[in-house]
Amino acid sequence: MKKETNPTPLLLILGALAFGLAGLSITDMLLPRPYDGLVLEAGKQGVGIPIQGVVAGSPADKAGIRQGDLLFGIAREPLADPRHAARVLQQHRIGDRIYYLIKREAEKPPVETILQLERRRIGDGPYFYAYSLGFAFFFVGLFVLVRQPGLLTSRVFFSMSCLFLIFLVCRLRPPTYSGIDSVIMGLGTVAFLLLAPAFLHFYVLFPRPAWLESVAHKPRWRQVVWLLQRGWPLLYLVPELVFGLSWLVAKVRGEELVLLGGAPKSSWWLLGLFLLLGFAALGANANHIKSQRERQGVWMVLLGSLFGLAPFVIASIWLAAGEPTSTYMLFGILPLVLVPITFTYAIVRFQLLDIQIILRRSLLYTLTTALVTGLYAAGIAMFNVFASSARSTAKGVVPFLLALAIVLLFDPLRRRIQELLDRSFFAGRSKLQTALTELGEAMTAQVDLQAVVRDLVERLPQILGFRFTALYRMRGATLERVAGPLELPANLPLLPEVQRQLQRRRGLNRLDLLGALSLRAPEVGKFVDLLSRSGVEAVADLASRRRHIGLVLFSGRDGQTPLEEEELELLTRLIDQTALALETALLLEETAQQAELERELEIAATIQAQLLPSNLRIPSGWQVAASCRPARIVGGDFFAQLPLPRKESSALVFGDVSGKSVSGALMMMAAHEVLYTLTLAMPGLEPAELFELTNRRLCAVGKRSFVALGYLETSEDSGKLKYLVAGQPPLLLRRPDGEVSELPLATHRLPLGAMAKGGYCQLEVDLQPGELVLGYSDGVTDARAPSGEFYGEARLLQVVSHADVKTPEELVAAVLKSVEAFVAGASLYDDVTLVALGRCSRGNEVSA
Amino acid sequence: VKLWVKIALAAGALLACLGAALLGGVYWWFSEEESPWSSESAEARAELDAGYRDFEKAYYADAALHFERARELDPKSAAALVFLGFTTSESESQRADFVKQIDALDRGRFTDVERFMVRLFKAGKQDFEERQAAVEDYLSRHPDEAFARSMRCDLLWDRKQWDDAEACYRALLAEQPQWVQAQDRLGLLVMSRGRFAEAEDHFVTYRYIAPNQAGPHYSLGILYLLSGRYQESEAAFTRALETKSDFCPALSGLTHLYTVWGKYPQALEAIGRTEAQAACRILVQGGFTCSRRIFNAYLQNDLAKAVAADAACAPPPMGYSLGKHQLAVWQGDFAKAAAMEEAIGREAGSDPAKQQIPFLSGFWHYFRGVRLIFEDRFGEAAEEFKLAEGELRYWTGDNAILAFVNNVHWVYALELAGRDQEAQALRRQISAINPHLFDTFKIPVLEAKLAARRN
Repeated sequence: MKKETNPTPLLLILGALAFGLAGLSITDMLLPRPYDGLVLEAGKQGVGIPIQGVVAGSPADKAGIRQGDLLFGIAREPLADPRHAARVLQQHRIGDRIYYLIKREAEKPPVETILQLERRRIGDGPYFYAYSLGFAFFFVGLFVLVRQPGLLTSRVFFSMSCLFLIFLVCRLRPPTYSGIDSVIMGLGTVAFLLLAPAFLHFYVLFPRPAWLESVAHKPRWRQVVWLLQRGWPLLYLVPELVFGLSWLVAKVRGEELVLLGGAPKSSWWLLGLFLLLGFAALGANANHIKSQRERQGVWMVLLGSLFGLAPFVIASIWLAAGEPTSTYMLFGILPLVLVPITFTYAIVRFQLLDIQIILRRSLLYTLTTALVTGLYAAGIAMFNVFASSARSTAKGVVPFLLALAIVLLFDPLRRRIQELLDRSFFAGRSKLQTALTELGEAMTAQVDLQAVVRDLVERLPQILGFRFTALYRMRGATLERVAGPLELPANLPLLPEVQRQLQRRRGLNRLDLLGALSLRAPEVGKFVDLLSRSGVEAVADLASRRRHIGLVLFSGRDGQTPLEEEELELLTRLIDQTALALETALLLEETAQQAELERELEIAATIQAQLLPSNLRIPSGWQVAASCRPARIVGGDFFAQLPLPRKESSALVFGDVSGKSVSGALMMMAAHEVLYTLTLAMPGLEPAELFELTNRRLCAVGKRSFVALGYLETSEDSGKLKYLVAGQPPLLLRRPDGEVSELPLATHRLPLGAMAKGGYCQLEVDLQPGELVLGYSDGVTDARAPSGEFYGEARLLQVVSHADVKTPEELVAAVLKSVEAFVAGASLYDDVTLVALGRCSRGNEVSA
Repeated sequence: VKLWVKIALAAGALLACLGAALLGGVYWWFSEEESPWSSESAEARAELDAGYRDFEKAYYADAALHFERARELDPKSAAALVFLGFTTSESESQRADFVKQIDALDRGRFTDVERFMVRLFKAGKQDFEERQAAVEDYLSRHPDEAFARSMRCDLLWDRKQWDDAEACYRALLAEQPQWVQAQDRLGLLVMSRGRFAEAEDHFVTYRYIAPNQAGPHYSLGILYLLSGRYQESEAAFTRALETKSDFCPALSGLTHLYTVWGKYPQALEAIGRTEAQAACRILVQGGFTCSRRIFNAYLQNDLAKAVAADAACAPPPMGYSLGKHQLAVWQGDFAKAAAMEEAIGREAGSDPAKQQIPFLSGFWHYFRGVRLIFEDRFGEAAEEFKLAEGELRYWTGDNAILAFVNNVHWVYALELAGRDQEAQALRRQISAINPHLFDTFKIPVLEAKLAARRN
């Protein structure tokens, strides 16, 4: 990826060079050199150099030389061109009386006039005015660049200010006849040539390229957009090209190239054309800017430029050649002051280019510091008087004490006075800031989400004068309006470009600034338009360290008063505090929801427990025991006694549902109810048929849920055990001598709900008295010790084999005891279900 | 590359440039300018420089003294010999003698300037092709050399290519306006073409550049004289003589002024002052003062005085003079006058009408006109004066006055021929330049003829 270069240091170097050049020009004029006060027409060559102007009160003026006269010679040297005049004058000293040869009327011969050379002056009032204007513009440009170095508009503005400075100081100055005179004047001409495209460039971008953005995607504007976005160097070459062509045409025609202010008339026409295009671009930008405040500022700049620059161009073309210099300066240069004034006012008043400044306070603080310094100065004077009259021994101590007092007391005193001034002059602002601070603290302390939202959308607009604020929260891939006017959209898209921009620039982001992103992502333009139509002017991102919470939207402010720097900082801090408060409130809300869920689960566990039969009915001659321990609050294992129509038979099922917790429990409930209902509704169903029907029903519930099920059916006075295992581990048979074996399994034994296709098949086994059959869920073998070791089948077989047990109840208890010992107090990994049967001489009932 | 490295490199380059500029300045300051003269003697070179400065000012007598001293200091100096030749040779034989001496010098020692000057001198005035070749050859090596460029313009002048000559001088002055000889030449050229205001600009500029030279005051004196601004002319000539008391052209100018003005005693006094100046020896020997004395008597219709003046004069070196020719026709000795015209013809060549040096053919026509008017062949005389006018108007210096004398004679010839309308038109034309001319400048002999014709 190409690394983006920062042009600000380069621009600052260029600015320093421009400033240095202007300084050099003025220094050159201040140096004690002989001066006659003549302004000669630069570039004129041949016999008789036209005198373009005569500085009032200068030696030439005193000698009666007038504008329009022809200068034939200085100090006995006939002149070939103005530079020759400069060389001649340099050979003399201030006070020298030298002869000038001047021709006034065509039919009369030239006359000799004596001039006494004087020390050079910086120029008369209009020139001084022009220099001041140049420096004023330069400093405005520098200020803008320093405040907004990342903005292309501010960089172009600074460049334009530098060019303006060079033009006003170097091009419009009277010639000094020094060695660097032509260099300075030449650079002034170069600055003038570059000024035309600089103006156009700036006006297209100012305060942001709103018009350009609006036409960026229209095919018929493609070339124009390319030129204005990428082809700027070409535009900057146009004036030089025009200058060169003018020179060439004049040379071909054998004419002399007439220069006005160092440039041919064609260059001035070009400047006029570029300015017209620039004004049109500025007007188009104003039309496309949504913010009324900004629009006002842009119109002001447009008017200032129009009334400041148009007379300059017109006067240069029509007056400079024939009118006296003073007239040109009056009508051409005087109105130029409108340009820096309107720019400065627009920046200060309307925060153009997002620049906020605090003038009043800085000014007052400066005065305060000056006052305190004055007081100390008076104090020092008094102490000096005192010390001079005191005894000589005290004289050395007094200055030391005085210096100490100044060091210790100066700053505290200044702060005190400053606070007093703040209370006196900035009470409104102070209250506003206090209210913001208090609101921020209150929001931080708030844990109620609704209260935080209320503060944000009700109190904050009241304090700062926003017409409304609105809060949008993240909901998946969209932003959902939580609070705010109903006119705003209920949902907003979550755009990555916007999110990145907001995360980069903390605090308030003007909506128009986001508009600039539309060049890269067109959907941002739609997003901005949508909000803009609803009256939104600024957006702030709400994010905590953990997550992105949402957006806060701000409308414009009543009265359009700009926020000051400190208020913006407070507001940014307040937005951070809001994010923190919202995060806290959301956490609390989530905790409450968790607690509620756990309570619900406990209820569900109770219900689930109640579904398990407390008493199992078993035909005489059989013994039974069962246990079910969920790993969570609610579980997926169960056992149940099915309501067989024949009283002499008993059927037990034990199941293990895939999934745990709530989903497992719900599936368990479903399986339980299906089995029970089918048994009840369709008496006489064989176990395999029951499994088939249950399987179909569970398949319809969901493909990803299934139930491992075991079926055990016994009959009175019979040792036959009818069983069916689908997905459960094989049943274990324990003989009285402790031998343990697995009962045979059918071929098809997939869990219920796993596959729609059936094919279950029940099996039978004859049990002898003393023999026990154990059914169990995989939660037994999957139980884990703290070390991570599984309980496993081998361990189970060993426990079943070696346990000193006679009855199913003892067997279940032994296995449970072994599992509990194995897990050593840790929670079970899965639900554990055990069902045991055995033959006995008479019927028995056991509790589960 | 980091920014500070770039800044350091830029600063280093800047310092290197400054250092180089400083060294160059020091070298330039202490290096000596090469002398255009080959002489090894510093004193001789100084004399050559001083002589050349006087030569530029047209102070030819003073210049000749400096060049003579330079030759004494360094007999092998080509420049001294050449410039002596330019300033002192009055005849072709003298010029040939100088050429012989120059040829005896070692050409290998010559500087480029000296080689150029030698080539020019050897070419003489009449060999335009060689002069042109010498100038162009030198300018090909030194295109900005003002002296050579001025020579090129002078060649055009001598070839009567007036438009080209004017353009040449203008081009030279646009770049080197301090070249006063060009200012003076261009002033004379435009003056002879009737553009007096423009000519005055050049002469005033010349005076502004060199107020301590007699040349510009003299040129202005001529211009004022021709314009009828006699007081200003008198002041200008006087100023020229204040600047340099033995400046012969100014004395000559004063003579002409008082003659045209009708102040004949002052004219005679000026003639006397001219004769008293050693620097004006060539002028006196050339018959100038003698001619003026005769002409002075002619204008006062005092034949005896004219004869006396002629008797006091030495024979003119060329065999003719304005005064002697005037006296001859006045006395009715037309054969003698015609003999003098033949002498001019011999000097000018087989066909004086085609003579390239302007004043000779102009003289020839004027002399013929004067003779014809006294022979009462007024119509033919008028034609000769008309032809003379075309040549004389481009004369330099005080000879321009002869144009006026010619024109006045032309008016008389037309009136005597009965071509009054043409005479009136010519009179108006002359009065437009000098409104006072016919008030003061009258020729009694011709007035008498005119009166006789009217009666």
